[in-house]
Amino acid sequence: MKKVGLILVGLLLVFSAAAVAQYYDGLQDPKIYDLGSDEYPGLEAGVNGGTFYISAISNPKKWNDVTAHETSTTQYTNVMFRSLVTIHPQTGALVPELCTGWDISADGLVVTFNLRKGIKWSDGEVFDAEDVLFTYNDLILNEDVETDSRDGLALPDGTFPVMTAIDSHTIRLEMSQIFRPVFNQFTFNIMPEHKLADTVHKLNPAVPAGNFNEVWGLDTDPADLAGLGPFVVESYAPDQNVTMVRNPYYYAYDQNGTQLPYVDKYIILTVESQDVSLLKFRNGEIDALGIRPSDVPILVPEAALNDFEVKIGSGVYGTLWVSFNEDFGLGEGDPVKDQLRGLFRDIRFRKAVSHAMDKQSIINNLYNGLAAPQWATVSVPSPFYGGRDVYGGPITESSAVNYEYDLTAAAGLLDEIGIVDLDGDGYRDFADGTTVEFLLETNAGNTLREGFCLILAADLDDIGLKVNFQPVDFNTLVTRLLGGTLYEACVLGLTGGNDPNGGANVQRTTGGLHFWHYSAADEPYEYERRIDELYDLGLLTFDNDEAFGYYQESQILYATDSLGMLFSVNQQFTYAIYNYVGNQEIADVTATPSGNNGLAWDLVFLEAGGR
Amino acid sequence: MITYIIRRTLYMLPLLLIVSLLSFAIIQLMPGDYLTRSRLNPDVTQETFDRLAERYGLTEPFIVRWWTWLVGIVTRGDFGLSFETKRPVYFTLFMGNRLWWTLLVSLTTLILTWVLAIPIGIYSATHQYKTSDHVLTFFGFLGLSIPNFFFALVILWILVAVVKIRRFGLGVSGLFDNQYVEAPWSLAKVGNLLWHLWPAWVVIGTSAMAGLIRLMRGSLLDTLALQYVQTARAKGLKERVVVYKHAVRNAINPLVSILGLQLPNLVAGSLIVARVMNLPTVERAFFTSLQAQDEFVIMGGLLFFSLFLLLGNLIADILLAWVDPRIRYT
Amino acid sequence: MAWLRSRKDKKLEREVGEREYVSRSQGEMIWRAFRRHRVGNVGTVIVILLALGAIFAEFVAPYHYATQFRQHSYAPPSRLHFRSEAGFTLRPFVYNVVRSFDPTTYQALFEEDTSKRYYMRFFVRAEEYRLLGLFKTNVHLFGAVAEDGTTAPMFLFGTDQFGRDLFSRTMIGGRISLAVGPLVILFSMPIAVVMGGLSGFYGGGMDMFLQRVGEVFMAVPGLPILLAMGAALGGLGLSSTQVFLGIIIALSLISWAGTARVIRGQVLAIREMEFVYAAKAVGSRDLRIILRHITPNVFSYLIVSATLLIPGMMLTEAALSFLGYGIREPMTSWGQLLNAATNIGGIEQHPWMLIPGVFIVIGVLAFNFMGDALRDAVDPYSIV
Repeated sequence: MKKVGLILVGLLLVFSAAAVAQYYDGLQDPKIYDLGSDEYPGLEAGVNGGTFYISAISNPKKWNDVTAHETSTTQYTNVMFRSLVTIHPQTGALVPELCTGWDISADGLVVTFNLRKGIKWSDGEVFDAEDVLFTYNDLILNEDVETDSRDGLALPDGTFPVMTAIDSHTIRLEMSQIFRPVFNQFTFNIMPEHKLADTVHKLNPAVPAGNFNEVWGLDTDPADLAGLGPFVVESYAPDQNVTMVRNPYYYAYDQNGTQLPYVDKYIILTVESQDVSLLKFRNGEIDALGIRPSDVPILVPEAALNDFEVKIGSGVYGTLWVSFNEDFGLGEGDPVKDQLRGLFRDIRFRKAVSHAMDKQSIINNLYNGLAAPQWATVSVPSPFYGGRDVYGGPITESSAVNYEYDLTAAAGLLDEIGIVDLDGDGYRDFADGTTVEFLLETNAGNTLREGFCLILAADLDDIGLKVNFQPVDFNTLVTRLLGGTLYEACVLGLTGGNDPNGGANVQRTTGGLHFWHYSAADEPYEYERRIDELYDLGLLTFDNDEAFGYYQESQILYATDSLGMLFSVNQQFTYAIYNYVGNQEIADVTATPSGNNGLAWDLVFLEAGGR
Repeated sequence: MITYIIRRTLYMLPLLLIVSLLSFAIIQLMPGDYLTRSRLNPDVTQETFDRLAERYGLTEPFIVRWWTWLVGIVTRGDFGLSFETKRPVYFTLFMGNRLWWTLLVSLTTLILTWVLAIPIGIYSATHQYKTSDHVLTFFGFLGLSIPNFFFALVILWILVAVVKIRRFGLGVSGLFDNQYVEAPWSLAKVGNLLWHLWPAWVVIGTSAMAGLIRLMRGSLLDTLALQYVQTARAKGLKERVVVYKHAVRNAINPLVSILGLQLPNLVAGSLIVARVMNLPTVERAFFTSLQAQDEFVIMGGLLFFSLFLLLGNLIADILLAWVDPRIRYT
Repeated sequence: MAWLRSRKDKKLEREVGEREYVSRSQGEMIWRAFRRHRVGNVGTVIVILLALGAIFAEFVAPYHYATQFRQHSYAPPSRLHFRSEAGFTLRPFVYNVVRSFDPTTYQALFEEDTSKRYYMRFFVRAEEYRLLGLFKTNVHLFGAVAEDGTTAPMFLFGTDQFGRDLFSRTMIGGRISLAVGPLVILFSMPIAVVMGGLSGFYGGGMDMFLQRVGEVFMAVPGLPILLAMGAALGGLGLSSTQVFLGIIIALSLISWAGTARVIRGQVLAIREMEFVYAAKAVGSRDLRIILRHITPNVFSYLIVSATLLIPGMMLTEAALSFLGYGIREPMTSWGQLLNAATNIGGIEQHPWMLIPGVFIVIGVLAFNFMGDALRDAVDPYSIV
């Protein structure tokens, strides 16, 4: 009897092991999403099936993720490929993706990644450390390759982390100094070595230098592409759509063993006009849409009738600001410009302008009430945002540096500086009688920025500053902004990310985008020195809470003493989605405002009978 | 006639050369270059961009760049690479059957416009100053005076929000409804294509139709006043024969002569309406590259449009000679 | 339209009595034929009204086109009330409106505050401006004033996103939209006349050469080149007025070739006419022939051509705004206003924003009808 029992148990174990092995296709370390748990709250397990329709504003430019420069391409390639680590769509924390975890050495200089075993590329080939090494050493660090990912990996002393493979599934990264953001930088997608190695001149001198930049263009047969992401491209019709299907070898599963992604097909319709995509959504041709604040009042009344929901999320990445050039006319010897520059350099002037910013009207009139005042250099969704109390904690805004809309206070500050109206024309003058006037520029055609300029100019006019508003072409604006001594006042925006160090080029005195005070490289102000220090300190610890302290201090310092950019408002992410789409809570704002990438594609499913 | 055609074709080459030089000059006037807008990316250093600028040849003087480009075309037939897609210019502009779709949309609009305008013009002329004449003229002009971009969006909006075509399972914009995109060609698919094209015909067509109707009407009125028409009537011929067999035949000539002038409107209409209605035309690819300042694609696009215009004018002139026996090109 | 008869007509009829045959000058004949075209007359009247509105825009408009009423973003057109407790009143009044936001739909709601009435008065004093660019004054055609002298905003056409009065902006915008056509004509016509005239009159080598030049300009694809020029213009750091002038010049360069060809054709035809041969036989110099004989005959075609060019320019201006290369803030034009309104929100939520589009339609129609009437009047063979 016992023997039979043992045999039965043995058989049971064997079968279940086989079943498990079958379930996960021989993967030893599948990524299991435990939907509904604390890690992924508000989600539930679904079933495979269905076609998911979404819209995008522009065509992809290529399938080559490494050389892609803008979201029009990366919104497609980001679902075709995967990276070592990725960012949790809800918390912004780093989660292991192609690796199962990492170890940091005691001195913080060596990081060891353990790769998932048994993963296959979408063409069936095996994934291992060779691919990671190839991507890092031969693509990213290769100066022939035109990639955006290289510069961010440079350590402050100019060297790059050195990557070696310990075995087929272990990667070792050695750095010359502690570099906390290293994980955030390792979110670049991994490319297949077996497919691309002989397209790189460095490895295959038969092809011309720079050849890699031209591979995997739009004329490539989709069957020749290979990635590790949830979807593979099936076909592409320019200006019409991109059709993607589930990657049969994708390594992620839900807790029930269903292979992700849930949907069988994922079709992105190219619709250039946001009005038309709104119409298509209302017509039931699109399942989810990132909408503009002005679209909310149109959709909400129809929501119950047509069975969809309009959701309003939290802030988005990016900033919108006005900046005064503290180097205007530097070194030109023009007394008029010198006077204006002196005014721009006075912190009281910048604070006065901050007080003259009618943020509530901007929120009401430009964003339909769907925005919030912004004060910090780090984007709101980032766990390092200064409006939180701890790293990744809830947004309390307890340390926010807010300048209330108060024209009297603004006027008072200007009086204090000593510029008053001498000739009775309604505008303030310098001591020598010249009117205080300056040029305010922004890029033509961007209604939000033009609107911001109009509102601000009207208020500044009320307190006696003469503003000449002129929208200019975007390229001209950028050239003037980066020209050092050219622009006077400018309204623009910058993209943002999760790690404050991504903005180092802007914050550091020697940074290439420190555009309001390039001369800081030679003569930094006290607070600029301190910000440099804080940015150095923020790199040198792997303790996120400690780093948070440094970055929060730098954000507060920037808002009280620097005001190189005077921030305005931050839009709330709004999107509309039909109720038959499951797992709607997974929206994340890694897309630009009104982008459609605010849904984690792996986890979206369509309820039966919905479509 | 053949010599005339050959002569005209040979003329095109120097014309295209001059157009290319003018276009290149205008592009140089545009501020910055392809890389400028990327420079605001905080992840990349300015040094990297400077290196890229050199690699793309953006730092050389414009005459040098134009000459290199020209030499490339003449010796290798190489119109250059698009900076954005890193693919040849002709691929970027014409990929995915864009050229055929553009021709389809333009030509069907042209044909429809003519097929409708001529009868309306004839009717208007034969019922001159009656109410129906005024009403037709008014509606003809109404279509002309509504700006295209607005008209296109309004039509789509009416379909979705007022008519609620959702109930019929129909969609808007693009070439096909979702379910037909991948499906093989069938009668239903063609029908679906027509459903997506008709708003474009209405919007682009109404602009062109007004001028044609007016011209047809005026021309027919002029012809009907001529002596030989009087003679035909005096001979006792039926009015219908007089009008259609004799007068219209001659009245059509001025219309054929302005056929060439209608082509620029087709190009313009293709851009504006195609943007709103999501039709894959060459003009849209051109416009995208214009915004990105993708030099060689812009040059290629301008050359293509010039060629289109020149060829169109040549065909129009040949048609005119065929229709009007008085015109001979020696 | 009897009252439009010229004084000369009436004088002749008085003197001559019931005489059947009266000789008239060419100008008079054209005028009479023009008057008979009823639709054209309506068009002309509309054109004149629009032009007046544009010239005296600051007077007709109650507010400056850039004044923002921030609490009235997207306010609907003010309701004029004609009914008070006393019944129907000839003094219409408006109420002030207060904005609130619906918490679920984020829709802005405007409610009338019936506590105070603001009567519509004419010739009120408000913001200062320069009439015709010369005289400083602050009198406006109308405004809303209460009994106690306080004012409230009155938006005949509603407001835009910034709370700027759309009626004022439409009036000022008319200046640009109506001026584009005539300005382009001003620049392109002289070139077209010279080129076409020389080409047609002298023929031969000069004709060949000028034809080729014209062909180059005609081979250049209009809209794409316009866009490229617009992009180039945008980058030169010019003020919005200068950008506007740049657009005008760009449009002129594109359009002169077509007109030149027409003029050439006309000159060719007239050159072969007997009276020109006669003039030559008598020994007139070329210049005299051109000026005295040919130009007057071509002139009428020119006028018609010009008038019919204007609506096309208005629509092109609107199209440029849509594509992003048109008139820029803070200047405004009907095309720019319509473009800002062309979105789903504009059609459903605040449809009053589309009113400038109506102006475009009316303007284009009016010019077309006026041009038609002119052409019928000028054409010696037409039966009117």
